[in-house]
Amino acid sequence: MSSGWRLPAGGLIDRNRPLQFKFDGTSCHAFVGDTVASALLANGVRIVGRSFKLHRPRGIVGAGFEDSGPLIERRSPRQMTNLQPTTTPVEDGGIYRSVNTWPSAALDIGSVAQAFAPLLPAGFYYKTFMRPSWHVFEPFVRAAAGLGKTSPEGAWQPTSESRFAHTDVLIAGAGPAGLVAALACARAGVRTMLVDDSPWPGGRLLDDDLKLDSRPAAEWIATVVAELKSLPHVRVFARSSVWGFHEHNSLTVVERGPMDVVGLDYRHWKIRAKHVVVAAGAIERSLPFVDNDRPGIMQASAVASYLGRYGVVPGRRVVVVANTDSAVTLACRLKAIGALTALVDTRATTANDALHGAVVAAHGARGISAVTIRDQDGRDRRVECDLLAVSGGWSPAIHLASQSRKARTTYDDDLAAFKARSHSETLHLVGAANGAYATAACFAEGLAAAQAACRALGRPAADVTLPMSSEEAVSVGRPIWSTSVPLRRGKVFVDLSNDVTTADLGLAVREGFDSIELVKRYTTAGMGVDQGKIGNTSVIGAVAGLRGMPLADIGTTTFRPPFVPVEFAAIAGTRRGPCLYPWRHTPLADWHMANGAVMYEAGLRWQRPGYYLRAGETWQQAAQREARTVRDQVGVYDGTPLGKFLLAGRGVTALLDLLYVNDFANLRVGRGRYGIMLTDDGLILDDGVTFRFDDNTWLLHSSTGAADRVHQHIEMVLNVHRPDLDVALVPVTSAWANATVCGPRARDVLAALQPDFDASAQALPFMTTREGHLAGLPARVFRVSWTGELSFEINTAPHQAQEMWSRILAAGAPFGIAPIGSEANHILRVEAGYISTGHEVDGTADVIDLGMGGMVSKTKPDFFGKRSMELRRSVDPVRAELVGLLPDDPGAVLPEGAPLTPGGARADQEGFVSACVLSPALGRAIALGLLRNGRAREGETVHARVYDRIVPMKVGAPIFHDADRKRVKS
Amino acid sequence: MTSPRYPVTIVRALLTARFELVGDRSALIAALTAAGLPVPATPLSAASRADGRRTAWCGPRRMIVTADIAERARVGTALHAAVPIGMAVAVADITGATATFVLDGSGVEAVLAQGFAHDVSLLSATANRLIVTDGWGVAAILERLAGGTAITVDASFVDYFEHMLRTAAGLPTASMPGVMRAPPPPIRITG
Repeated sequence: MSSGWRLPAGGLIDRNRPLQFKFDGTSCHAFVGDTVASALLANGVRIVGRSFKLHRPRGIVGAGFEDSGPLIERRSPRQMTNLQPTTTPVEDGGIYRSVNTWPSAALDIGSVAQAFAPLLPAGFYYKTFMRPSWHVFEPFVRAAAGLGKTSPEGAWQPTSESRFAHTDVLIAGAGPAGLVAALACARAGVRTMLVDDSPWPGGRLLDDDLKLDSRPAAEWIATVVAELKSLPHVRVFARSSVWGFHEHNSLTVVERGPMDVVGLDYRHWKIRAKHVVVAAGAIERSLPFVDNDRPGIMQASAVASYLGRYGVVPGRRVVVVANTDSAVTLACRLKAIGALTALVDTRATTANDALHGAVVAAHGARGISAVTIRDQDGRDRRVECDLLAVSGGWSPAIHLASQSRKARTTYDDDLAAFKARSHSETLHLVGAANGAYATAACFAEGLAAAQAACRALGRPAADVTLPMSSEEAVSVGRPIWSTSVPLRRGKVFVDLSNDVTTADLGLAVREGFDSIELVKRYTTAGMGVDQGKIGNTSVIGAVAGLRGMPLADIGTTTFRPPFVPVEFAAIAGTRRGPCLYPWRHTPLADWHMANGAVMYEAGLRWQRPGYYLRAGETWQQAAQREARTVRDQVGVYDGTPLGKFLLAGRGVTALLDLLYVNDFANLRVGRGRYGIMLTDDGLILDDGVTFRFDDNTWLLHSSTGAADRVHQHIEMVLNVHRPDLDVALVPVTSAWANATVCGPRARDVLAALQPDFDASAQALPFMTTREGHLAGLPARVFRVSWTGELSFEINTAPHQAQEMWSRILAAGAPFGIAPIGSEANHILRVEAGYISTGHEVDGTADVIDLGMGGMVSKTKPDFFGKRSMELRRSVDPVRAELVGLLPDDPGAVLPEGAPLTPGGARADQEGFVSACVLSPALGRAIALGLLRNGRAREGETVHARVYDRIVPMKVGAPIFHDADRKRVKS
Repeated sequence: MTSPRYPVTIVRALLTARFELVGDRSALIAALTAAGLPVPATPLSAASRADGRRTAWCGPRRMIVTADIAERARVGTALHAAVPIGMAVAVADITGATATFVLDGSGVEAVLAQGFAHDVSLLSATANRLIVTDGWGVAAILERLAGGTAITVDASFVDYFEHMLRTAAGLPTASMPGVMRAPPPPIRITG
């Protein structure tokens, strides 16, 4: 490895701040501002990695996200892999490694794969390794190819925040067009955002050594950026990428290492812009020639970038191949520093002192050492070199505009490239992204777009004097899509990321995968990390040649986000792990957690105690203990999440009669009634108890998990079906905390709380409610049960819930009260035969299926879902019905959902187990299930199939405890 | 990290008496007037009185009255008395059912913009303006008050919301769902 590739002066790096780092174990030096790529080039490192499939040596190709060269891994600091070296800032003390190589990129043992190259053409995995099975070979193939890996334990956990923003104008790209557009918008006073990938605004003005108004372009850039940054309504994003352009001008932007705060690795923006100016520039294409992937073959624009921004000249004997004027400019610069060996101009018409011809082959096994140039007379000439800078033409960066679906992509023969034409007044393509490569044209288009946006926003266009550029006219040569040289050996690559060659394209077309979308998928061209930014147009051009069609008829593949690689962690921000979704706590959550509760979601994001674990217990033992406590003594659970809705108005009775299958109009004040509501297709939506407080005020309860569905359903009925009903609805779930005391000693606990009302069985019977004070606190008590025991639901204001809970526990201590969780609740309700949403209410059952047909009103003319239920039952009267099931093996607890099949067969399901628990009351396993024609089959033995095990079960009534409900009503 | 990433203070507001009224616009205005409570001029705005009573018009058929907690019984009685029997106006005492955070400092927008897709800068455009929207996946009401920006959410989300606010500000947080675990593993056949 040699040194001295860094020029003594120049570039935008901070030469006063040197850095040290290691790559593949070798020490290197750099400066603050360097990327890993620029630093490796400055240190003379040519082989940076190996190719994806064939492990061919590869070096740096580009200078930004378009780079199709190898990826790297950062081992320290902050372990991360699959990084593009061209966009990764080098860090002091950093340890970097090539990806998927061993022992190093330079000496990679995986390069033996090249010997098997004939076995690995496009789509090889569809044809080879098929016997005995592709899956036998798959691990080896994937290990040999592919990307980097990190261990989950050691992987970096970056800090990222998400940010929403609204702006008048968002400008993607801070090159000449973008800077002028931003300046004009900013001066007009509109909210402006300017986003650029680079740490330095300016785009190619930084690379081309241009003069603006006879001064270095950098001075003009600095003046513009300073003015933009001084304005409060302007935000300039550096090292940031617009990676998605979604519907309605919604854009996603990743900001890397925001400078305004400490300790933030990413900021991920979701921005809604009234106008979007796409000034994303253009991407330089490669050229087809033999072995055009050798380390040392780079985009000419990348070489210019390393010169202009980093003061690095990646070669000492450079051959420049130009199909555009920009590469000729580069050649002049290289000549000035004594690094130019030859300029090869593929255009016959240009008048410069270049060799006119084409490169037909590169030479050098581990890096380019020479090129063969064929002149216009067909004579070959070999030129020694250590760097080949290639310019095969430009492709406007139309990706974002195309993603927006506000632009139509067409092939432009004059540009020899695909171009996007906006058909929206809010999308503006400018500069090189619009095919305008000359600096003056970029300025003019940027200004025009800004003026159009400002006019549309009702702001007068701002005055911006455009600088005069020293640049001469810019011309582009005819595109070269394929090599005319017969290929005897070597490969001509069109996509370096995935090792796709012109031969692969030919194979795909010959085999009938001739649509460009099929070519892409069959060959994987354009599916690498770079998404084919350099190679895609060349692929289309090559396929057009193979099919004998114009490029316009071939078209492009579909552009989709992300435009640049984005880390998932950057997108996720803080919404990950337990914060992925909101969680809900009852006012008693702190108490539960302090007293050993294991909390998890039990519907609609509510975290509830599953069980209260004691030392030495399993969760099953804890649930059994809690359930026994309720059966034998008394328990208390937090029922706060139960859905609650206050209904008021003269129309409530009519509403309830429409919502529920049973009658409500005749419910007396102070009493409650259990009801079942159906969906409009006649299936059970939810169940719950509704109480009547006075003539016009009611409280409707829903199950926890269905509360939102019930709310939407009622609102839909009120707003769509019966807007004439005089009803006001308020969801009040969080307005009442609920502690439910249940068990044979529940009334003793209630008495110990010294109610200021008569709580006797006569005064407060089942399905009634009273309001008053308990233990000195205001409370509302409901006599409802979901455990099969005497129960009192004690409701209080949430800010008094902890106090009420403590007083209940104190009052219940002499009676052995204990808190119980949802697992014990589940056991108790199965014993009692109560249905549960999500178990028996599975979205296919109606009210008659669950054995509650007697509830269905025979007097009211209609209710929601009535017609659908009757219609369905008339068409198919044999239905799955709720039954109780007793496994022959009393210890067999089956998983919920276990299928019931005739004789335990693998097919012909006739039902399923909806719930199965170990019953403390019966001392054995019990289950509920839905069984075809089940009620008529009581006494039969049916069979559940669990994997390969067949479990016989006796069919019975779906109730195992307190069948006459005496305990509930006591 | 003990100092915030953005200059902001986050304080849970003291408990206030809070009533939600739902019904037709004219009936709501009549009830508020009869109860001697302030009436906002337009939807998505608020009106206050010197005694601290405040009414926020949160939706076409929804208003929320707040008052000092000591006024809870008095305001509740006045509201119920102001609604004629049979009129379709629901008056719900939702005291404690919501939680309000007050954020102050120059970093408020930077914090709120991390969870609210709505353009929160609009809050400062008009006095007494409300934004009824969604922040970090939770329904929320935003108001600009003298002491800062108030965000009111359902009380069940208070721990989650405080966690997200403090995380967004770069402050330490104790409101993680500390003992939350996955539900029990699938029950396998025994015996």
